[in-house]
Formats: sequence, C-alpha cells, structure tokens
Amino acid sequence: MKNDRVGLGWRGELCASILDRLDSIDVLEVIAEDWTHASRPEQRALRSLANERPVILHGVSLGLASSFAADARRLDRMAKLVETVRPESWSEHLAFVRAGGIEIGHLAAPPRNAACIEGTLANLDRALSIVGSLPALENIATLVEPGASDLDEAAWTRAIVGPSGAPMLLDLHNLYANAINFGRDPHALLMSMPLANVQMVHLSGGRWIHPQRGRARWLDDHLHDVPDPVFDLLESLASRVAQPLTVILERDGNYPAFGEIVAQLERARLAMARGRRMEEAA
Amino acid sequence: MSQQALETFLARLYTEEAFRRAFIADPHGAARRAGLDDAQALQMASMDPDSVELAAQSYARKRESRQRNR
Repeated sequence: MKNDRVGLGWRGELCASILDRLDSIDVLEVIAEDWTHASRPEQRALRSLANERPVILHGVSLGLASSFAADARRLDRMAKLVETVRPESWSEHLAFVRAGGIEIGHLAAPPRNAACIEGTLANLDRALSIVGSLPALENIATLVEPGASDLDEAAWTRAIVGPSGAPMLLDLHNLYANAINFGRDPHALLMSMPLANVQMVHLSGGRWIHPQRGRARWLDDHLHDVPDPVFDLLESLASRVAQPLTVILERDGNYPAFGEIVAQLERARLAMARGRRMEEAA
Repeated sequence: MSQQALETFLARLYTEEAFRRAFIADPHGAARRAGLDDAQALQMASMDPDSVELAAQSYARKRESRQRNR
C-alpha cells in the first residue's frame, strides 16, 4: 500500500483502548492545544508515546488564514511543544478564528480573496520562522459561504498550498459537507483540490440538521461514523495520487465500542488499497 | 477598507446577536453602518442570512462546549 498509514485522533476517553489496540493504529494525531499548557512531565509522557507510534500535532487555534498576523505567543507555545514532543509533523487549519479582538470560538472561513491569500502566506512564513517547520494545511467545513470572496474554495486553497510549499491535510468529510451544502459534486470538488500536495487525510462523520429556516445541511460533528461516500472519496484520492497517504480518523464523542472504531480504520485501509489497485491498473 | 475590516465584520456577525439581527434585517445598511465601503457592503449583503444564522449558532455551541470543558 505504498507506505500508506491509517491512524486515529488521540482523545482522553479513548486512550486506554488506543494503548490496548496500538497494533491496529499506525499513527496518532494529538490536539496541540490540549498539551501546550501541560506540565513538562505530561509533555514528556507524550514524547514517550511518540516513541511508540508516530505522533502528529494538530493545531486548532492559530487562525493562520487571516490578514491579521498570527499570535506570536501561540506560535511560541507550538514551537516549544514541537521541541519537547518531537512529533513527526504538525498541522493547522485554513481558517481564521479571531479578528479585531473578537474570538469566534471555532474555525471560520475567511473572505477568499487575494488579500487573504497574502496574509495567510505571511502567517505561514511566520510559523516557519518560529516553529521551524510548516504545518500541513487542512481545509475546513463551513455552513456559510464567506462574503467578499472572489475565489471558490478549491482555487483559494490551491493559491495558498502551492506557493507556500506546505503539505495539504485534506479533510474528506469537510470537503463532502461543503459539497453537499453548497450544491457541488463531491468528486468534482475533490479533483479540483491540490491533490499532488496531499500528504495527510482526515475522515470523520456528521449528520443532517434541519434548521427552522432554510434548507437542511450536513453538519461535520465528528460524532458519527464515517459515511460511505467519504470512503468512496478516499478510494478516488488513492487512485489519483502517487504519494503515500497518512489517514487519520477523527472522533470527538458519542463513542461506539472501540472495535467499531478499529473497523472504520480497516475500512479506510481497504478503500485506499482499492484506489491503489486502480492507480496501478491505469 | 481593509481586509482586516472584512474579517472583523464576519467575526462580529458570528458572535454578536444584535449585530447579526441588524444585518439580517438590512444587510447592506448594517454593513455600511459598520464602516464597510459600498462595494464591500454589497459583497457582504450577498451572504445567505439563514446560513449566517446557522453558522453563528454552531460557533456559539462550540464556545459553550469549550467553556463547560474548562
């Protein structure tokens, strides 16, 4: 399978089961902000875990996709964590999370335009300078198309990922949710992403929500199993790219028996294997 | 008007209920009163108000959840 790997997001509720079934997990992804304020012994424990399995630090609060300069203190904390834990790599989102002193509280899509691209590239230079390496950049799910955008999501993503030299962390469930919610074909959206730069993949689940006003939407909630169309997207991706992929399953609650999570990891392996066979046959 | 003003405008839309209500009632007028120029106000006014409300509710739940877990 071309050194493809399948792993899981580390969560406190799952840690005992993860350690018990480490043989089924190739790589672990850890939310960086859960550890930036941890004690040195706790961070060293994470370092020990990184000796057992490759660990990837996943940031959720830097807000790099912004015309505001990324907070140097947050970047310093990420740098210190990287230095202590020595992860295989780290990642962040193509999102803004604050502006003008206002904390949004989660990942938001910025206006997708040239000024935003310029600000994001400057923030990535800043991250490289402080942390010492570039993060893999993850596409986000959004329930609203941001105003003042003159590029679509894929063109905007390509304009950042390509020039920055950063690898892409392609979240296939986020891609699926955006395609469903904004009337696009998920496979067409996949093909328009910078696939040659994809090194990592996220899988997760979601559900339909039916607001009082407006149409139903697919919500990326990380509380449900990975839907079949997302495994199909993984197969398509594996059939289209030559580089090895690291796939991470994200689950943030409503946990099933751990065996069901392991079964989803196996489904991901099988989907990639099918895709690789198609790639070889082509 | 700068890109930072646009991002700040979106952040206010997602976090300030009164600001959002005013925008949904009169998108272009609210954007102009918030200091955006006419072209940018028109661009912001093109946002789907139902989606804005839904996104804001989603962010509010995330903030509440984070507060509970602290």
